[in-house]
Amino acid sequence: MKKNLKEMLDKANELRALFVFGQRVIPFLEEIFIFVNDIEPLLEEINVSIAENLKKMPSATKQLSKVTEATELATTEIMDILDNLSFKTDVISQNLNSLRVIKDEHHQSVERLLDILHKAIQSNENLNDYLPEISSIVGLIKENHLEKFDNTVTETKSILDSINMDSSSIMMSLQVQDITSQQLAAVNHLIEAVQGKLIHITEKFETTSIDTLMAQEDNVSYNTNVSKMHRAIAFDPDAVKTTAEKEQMQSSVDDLIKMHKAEISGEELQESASQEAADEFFSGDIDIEALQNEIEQELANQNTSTTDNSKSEQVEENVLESDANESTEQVTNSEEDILANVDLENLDEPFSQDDIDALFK
Amino acid sequence: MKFLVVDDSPTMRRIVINALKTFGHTEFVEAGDGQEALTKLGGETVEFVITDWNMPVMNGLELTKAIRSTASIAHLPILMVTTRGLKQDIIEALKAKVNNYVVKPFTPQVLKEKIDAVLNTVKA
Repeated sequence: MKKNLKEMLDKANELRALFVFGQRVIPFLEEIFIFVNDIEPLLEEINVSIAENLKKMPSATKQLSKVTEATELATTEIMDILDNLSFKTDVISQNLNSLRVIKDEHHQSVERLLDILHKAIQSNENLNDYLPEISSIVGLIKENHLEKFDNTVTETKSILDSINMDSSSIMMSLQVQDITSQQLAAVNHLIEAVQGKLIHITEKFETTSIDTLMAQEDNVSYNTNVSKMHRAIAFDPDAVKTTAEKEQMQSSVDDLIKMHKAEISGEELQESASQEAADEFFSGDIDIEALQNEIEQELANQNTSTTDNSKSEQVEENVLESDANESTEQVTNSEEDILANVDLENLDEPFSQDDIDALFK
Repeated sequence: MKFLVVDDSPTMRRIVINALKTFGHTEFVEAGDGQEALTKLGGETVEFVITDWNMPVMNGLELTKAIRSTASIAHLPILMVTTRGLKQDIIEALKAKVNNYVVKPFTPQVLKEKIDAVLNTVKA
C-alpha cells in the first residue's frame, strides 16, 4: 500500500512537471501561431503578386513588339520617301542642266541673229534678203527655246512642290516617335510596378511589422498612366493600335460624331421652337444630355445582355456613378428613335475619323 | 489667328505647328501640359486650342473642362488630337465639350479639315 502511494506521488510529480513544461511551451506555441497567421497573408500576397507580374509580362512583350513594328513601318515609309526625294533631286539636277543648255542655245541664236543684222546693216544690204534666216532663228527662239524653258521650269516647280509634300509626309511619319514613346512609357511603367512589388515583398521579410507594411502598400499607386523617363510621359497603352488602324479609326469616329450631331440637332429643333434652341442648333454646340441618354440606354441594353466583358462593365459603373442623380425618364421617344440608329454597343471598340466626323458635323 | 498647341511630346508640338505653318498660320503658343496651357491662356490672347489627351500634371480632358468652366476663355474652339480612339473616349470628349476630334497619327489634310470645320461652326 505504501509502495503504491509512492508510485502515485511519483506519477503526480511527473504530471506536475508536464504541466509546468506545457505552461512554458504555450507562449512559444502562441508565437508560432501568430507568426503563421501573419505570414499567411504575406505568402498569399507574394503568390498574387507573382501571378500579376507574370500576367503583365506578355503585355510588355507585345507592346515592345508593337514599338518595333511601328518604328520599322515608319522607317520604311521615310526611306521610301527619301528614295523618291533622291530621284526627284536627280531630275531637278538634269532640268537645271537642260536650262543651262537652253540658255546657251538661246544665247547662240541671239548672237547669230545680231550678227546677221549687224552684217546686213553694216554692208547696207536689204534685210529682206535675210528674212528666211531671221525667221528661222526667231522661230527657234520662240518655239524651241522658250517652250523648252517653260516646260522645264513648270516640271521643276511641280517636282519642288512634291518635295515639299514629301517633307511634310516625313514630318507626319515622325508622329511614330510620340506613339512609340507612349508604348515605351507604358512598358517602363510596368517594369517600375513590378520592381516596386518585388522591393515591397523583400522589405516584408526584413521587418516584423506586417501591418505597417500593408499600410505603406496602400500609399503606393501604379494606376496613373504617367511614366517618369527622361521626362514625365503620359501614355495610352493602346497608342500603337492607331498606327495600324488609323484611317479606319478616324473614319468611324467621324461617322459617329456626324450622326450624333445631325440627329441630336434635329431633335433640338423638334423639341423647342425657341430662338435660343435654334441658335444653339446653328452654333453647332453638342447636346451632351442626349448623348448621356444614349449611354443610359446602352447600359439598359447591357443589363439584359450576358456577354458583357469586364471593360464594358467598368464603363457602365463609371457612367452610372457619374449620373446617379439623373433620371432615366429623361429619355424621350424621339431620343429613343435616335438610339435606334446608333450602335452604342462595345464602348471599348476603336473609332475611325469618319465616326468622329459624324458626331461633330 | 493664334494657336495654342498643347502636347507633352515636343515632337508632336513641332509636327502640329509645322502642319499649321503649311496651312498659312504664323502665330503659335506651346504648352507641355494642361496646367501650363492654362497659365499661357492667362497671359496670351489665343484664338484656337489644339490639345493632346494623355499628358502629365493635367490631361487634355481636364484642360477642356477647365477652359469651358472659365467664363473669359469658355468660348475658345478646342480640337482634341490624341491616340485615344475608343467610342467611350469620344463620348467623354463630347461631354467635356471639345469642338472636334482627331486620332493620331493624322495627315495634314485631316488636321486642316477639322480646323476648318471647327472654325466654320464657330463662325456660324
